[in-house]
Formats: sequence, structure tokens, C-alpha cells
Amino acid sequence: MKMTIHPMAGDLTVISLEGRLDIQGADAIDDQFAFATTTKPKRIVVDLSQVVFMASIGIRTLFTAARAQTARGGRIVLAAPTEMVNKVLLTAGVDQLMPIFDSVELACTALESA
Amino acid sequence: MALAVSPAQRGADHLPTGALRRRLSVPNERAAVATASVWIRAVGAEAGLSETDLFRLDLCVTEALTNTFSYGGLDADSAHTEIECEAAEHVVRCTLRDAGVAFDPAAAELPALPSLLDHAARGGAGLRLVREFADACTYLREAERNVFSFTLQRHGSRASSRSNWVARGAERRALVERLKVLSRPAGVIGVGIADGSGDAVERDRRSGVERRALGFISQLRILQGAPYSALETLIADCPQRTLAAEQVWLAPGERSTDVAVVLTGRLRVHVESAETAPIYVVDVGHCAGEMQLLDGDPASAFVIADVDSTVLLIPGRMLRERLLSIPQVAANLLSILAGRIRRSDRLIAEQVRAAMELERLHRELKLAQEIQVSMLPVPPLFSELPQIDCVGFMRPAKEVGGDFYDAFALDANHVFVTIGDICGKGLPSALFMVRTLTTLWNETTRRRNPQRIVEHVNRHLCVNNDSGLFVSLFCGVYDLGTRCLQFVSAGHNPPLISIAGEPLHFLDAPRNLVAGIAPQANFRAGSIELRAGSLVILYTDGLTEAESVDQQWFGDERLLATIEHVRDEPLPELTSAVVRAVDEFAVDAVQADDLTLLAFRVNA
Repeated sequence: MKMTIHPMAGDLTVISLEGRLDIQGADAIDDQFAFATTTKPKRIVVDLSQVVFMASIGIRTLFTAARAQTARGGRIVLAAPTEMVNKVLLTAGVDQLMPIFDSVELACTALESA
Repeated sequence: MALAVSPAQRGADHLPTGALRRRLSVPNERAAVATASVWIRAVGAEAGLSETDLFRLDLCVTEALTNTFSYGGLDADSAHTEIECEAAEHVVRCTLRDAGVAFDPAAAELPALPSLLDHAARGGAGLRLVREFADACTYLREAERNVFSFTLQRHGSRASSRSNWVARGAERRALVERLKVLSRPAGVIGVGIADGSGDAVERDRRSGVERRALGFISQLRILQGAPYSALETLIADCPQRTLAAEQVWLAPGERSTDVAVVLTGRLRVHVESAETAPIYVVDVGHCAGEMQLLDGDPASAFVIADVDSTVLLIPGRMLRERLLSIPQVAANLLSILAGRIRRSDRLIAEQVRAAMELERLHRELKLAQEIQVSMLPVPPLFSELPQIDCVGFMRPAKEVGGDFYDAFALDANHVFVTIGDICGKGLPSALFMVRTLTTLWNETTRRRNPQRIVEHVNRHLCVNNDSGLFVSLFCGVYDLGTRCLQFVSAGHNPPLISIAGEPLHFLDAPRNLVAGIAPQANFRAGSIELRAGSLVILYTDGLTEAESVDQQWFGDERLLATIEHVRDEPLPELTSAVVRAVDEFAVDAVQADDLTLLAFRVNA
């Protein structure tokens, strides 16, 4: 599991995840991801295009970030999940808590205009 | 080999004999989930599954295993889950066997989808995923083991998935190698798979709402060990409440209709006042407020959030009518109450011990006071000397005082009088007073000159005086022959004096430093002739600084006027009159300082 942070204009940040978001993957990025997403209010796009596998533990990682941002007045959205990852997200109801966009660009636009 | 399925499905889903079969045994721990993922993907790849099906297979195994080690209540050291995967042309079946508590993931109700970002809503997501991504799930309880199977109808053609794998041949070879390692005999437990003869257990009744609570129910002291089926709807109906740090949940005299179970954070319980130290702390999983619910009396203590906390509020009515009828809950509550009683007993024992210790200290202080008072001379003083009268009085403000006086003959012609006031009060001052007195006694055995006496006493008191105590001291040596009083005042109040019936006035004594501070200090002496009828009153500031309720001092002028009024009275009456005047002045006020007085009269 790999995580890359791309600071954009203003407080907008794109966080790209790459690999399997299973127990090992979540363990690998949890601290780093939590630090990037929970410490201060931001507008965050999580780029899931390179996430090849997503288990419930990964959903928890996303929920933690969403909860922290909601509490701090920030926003976090998901972008570009693969078909199967998207199905996992929909099955777990993640879309009810975090908007899911088809592409990073659409997500950024939505956050910028928000 | 037949696969174990529930009786209703037996025979319906038998895979062709030519199907690929692989087995793996993994310990029930986090790390094993990754191992199983790698293995199941390798098996799936060997069977030519499409990427989509590999994803589904991987996800279902991951979630089923995660569920087992998270909730199975297994002893992690010994428990393993056996995974068997069978892949045929159109269908893949995976079976997991574990020795955890009976739980049917196939029948358990799913939790509501998360509607708010509440961590309780996360539980059950894995279960939902398995049920959504597998085409069918079956469960049975067999030989004390959970046997959970899921099947996937294969999507995508073998050919397309094969081409997929051809393109990644190297990766596939690596996977196959890993598969060989994982499938070594040592890693496989060769259990015989039951021939469909297992008995299906009674349907698991754990509901979805209960699954939501599953993650924390096992941590709640009062609910531990109770069957989930009995708790499911009850707990789901209990509201949660957040308490900010220092928020008071319950105060003495209040009635709460709920028991609070701490989900996050911490509560603390105080008796008497919220300012006193808490008598105990209620940590996560423990409860508060159950006593007043049981006996119906108002709360007897403060229950305050120590940090930001969340509590689950179990309504009293539910506790009494529903939960207490569950034997394990009743047993838990009794155990909690027993713990409370033991803690109370311990607190009482500590208080009794503290009270006994205090009692002992009081007794010792009383004894110290007796010793201290016994060091002061008992009237009448100088009864053998008709030339002089002398009376002393000392009343400590506390059990032990820091004031002293003394009067004794140095030889046939000289008498010594002294009065002193140690700074501070209590035991340290009392000990310093003893030290001062004994040093004075010692010095007066070899000296007649008050200046030298005070100088030596000062030097001795400065030694080993780390606590920095000091004494204001008046010493006088009266020569019965010459009627001359030689005196030194080391920072002490000026005595009141009247020479042969002349008006009373404050003696103009040379000023000196108090004793005990500077070892090299010089002390200047004074002298005055005390003819017949002369009167000297030595006192400490406890007398002039006696306070009335309206914070007035008794003061020099009042002292002068009081003594002027009774100057011709015998000394016992004179001192009594002065003490009475001070007491009347300071009526109802707390005596802050020792009250000490030494009166000395030269007879005709």
C-alpha cells in the first residue's frame, strides 16, 4: 500500500492511494493517512484509482478520516474507484457518507465550488 | 469427497469430482488474513478465475476470516481456521471452519447502512460485503465448529481470464510458488471433512442491530457473558449521550432514571463535594448510577465526566424488568455491587486508620504540651526571696506553643528572668522553644552577664538551624544587692516598667536582632535601678496583638491602661486582670497566638 499527498490550490489536497486496502494495507497507511486527514480541517480528495482491493477494514480507515473532517468542518470525498472497489463502497454504504466521484478532476471541481 | 453443507442444501450443490481442491489452515490473527488472501488468489488463479471473481473470492475470504478472529472469542494461541477452496468450471465454493462461538454469518441480520459517522455503524460492514459479493452462503455447526461456506458463480470466461494470466505469467508463477509454500503439509491440517452429517445448530438469533453493538457489548462489564440474542433489541433501544469534560451527569440528591455505561472516555465519582478527590473512576465498560436505581434513593455522589465521554444510558425500567432477568446480567450486577462494597469497606478501613492516627497524634501533642508546660516554672516564684515577687502566665494558642518564660536564682544575690517568643507555631516552634530554654539554662550556669548569655544562646541557636526559626528574647539579671537590673532585648517587645510608683512606661531598651539568625551578632545591653515598689511586666506580642472580632489589636495603649489600673494589686491578681482584659477584648475571636506574661515586683 502506497500513499502520496498532492497539495493543490488553497486547502485542497489530493491523496492518492495505491495497492490493496486490506488489513495489511490499512495497517501500512493508517497512521500516515490519519495524520493527513484528521489533524486539520481541509478539503480532501482521496484518489482510489490505483486501489486494486478494498476490504471492510479499509472502509473503516476512510470512515475515520470522514468523521474527523466532519467534526472539524472540513470535507473529504472519494474519487475514481475501480468497478469492484466502487461496488464494495456502495455495498457498505460509504456513498451515503462521502460523495464518490468518477474522476479526480470532477471531485476537485466539486470541492472547489463548494 | 462431499462438502459439508446444511441438510437443506445437501446434494444440491455438489461440485464435479474433477474440481480443483485446495486447503489451508491459518491461525486466527490479523496477519493470517493477508496470508489467506495471497493463497486464495493463487488458488483462484490456478483455477483460471477472472479478475472480478478473484476480487470477490479474496474479499469474501478476507471478511469471513476477519469476522472470525474479531468476534469468534477464540484463544488466539491455539485456534486456527481451516479454509477449503473448491473450484469447478462454473462455480467456486469456499468453506471456512473455526472453533469459535457459534455464529451464523449467513443468517445474521445485516446492520442498517451507516447514516451517521458513528463508529458503532462500522461493525457488520464485512458481513454485508460477504453476503453481497457471494452468490450463496450456508452455515452449520458441526462438531463444535462453525462451518461457513460461500459459493461464487463464475463471471467472465476462463479463456479471457487465462489470457489475462498469460499476460502476467511471471506474477502467476510467483503466486504458484507461494502457493506451494503455503500448502506444505505442515501448514495443512488433515482433518477429514464430514460427509454432510453435521447437525445444523439452532439458528443464530443475533440481529443486525445487535451486531452494531457487538463490537462493544463484550466490553461492557454489566452485560458480559450474556447471550446476544437476549440483548439484541434491548441495547439497540438505549440512547447514547455525550458528556463534555467536567460535565456533571449526576449530583447527590438527584434521581436518574438510567444507568450510564461508559463507552468512551471516563467518569469519576466524588462524595461530599466535587472538589474532593474522587473515590473512584469509572472506566470504559463500567457503569455508574446503578445503586440509586436499585434502591430508589437519590444519588449519593457526584458523577462527573473526567474527559469528553460517551455513555450508553440503560433505562432503569429496562434494567429491572428485562436485563436483570438474564442470569448473567444479574450475576454481573451482583459482582459489580460486591466490588463497590469491598471498595467502601476499604475506604472505611482507611478512614478509621487515619482517624486512629489522628487520635494518636492528638494524644502525643497533649503529652508534648504537658512536657512543655512542665518546663516552665510553677508559681510561686522566688518564694524564698522576700525582696521580690514574681508571677508568670502562659497560654498556648494551639496544643503546643512557642512562647516561654522563666525565672530563677543564679546565686544568692542574682535572679534571672526571661521571656521569649519563637516565630511560628506548632510542633517546630515548640521544639525550638525547648532548645532555647535548655540553652539558656546551660548558659546561665556559668554566666551572670545577660549580654554574654544572649550572645552565646544566639550562637548556639544558629547552629543546625536549617529551618530558619528564630526567637525574640528578653533576658534580665537582677542584683538583689545593688537593685540593678541588667537586661538585653533581642528583638523583643519593650517591657512595661514603673520605678518606685512612678507612672508606667515602655522601657527604652537598646534594640538588637532576634536570636537564631546571625551567629556573630552583637547584643547591646541596658541597665536600670529598680528601687522598692518598682514593677516590671514582660509579655509577648500575643498579648498586644490579641485581635477582637472587628480585627482591632489589643495594643500598647490598652495594655498600659489596663496594667495602670491594677498596678497595686498583688501580682497573681494583676496578671489575671490583664489576661481577663485581653479575653474580654478578644471575646469570640480565635486566639491566634500564645499569650505569655511575666510580672516582677521589687518589695520594700
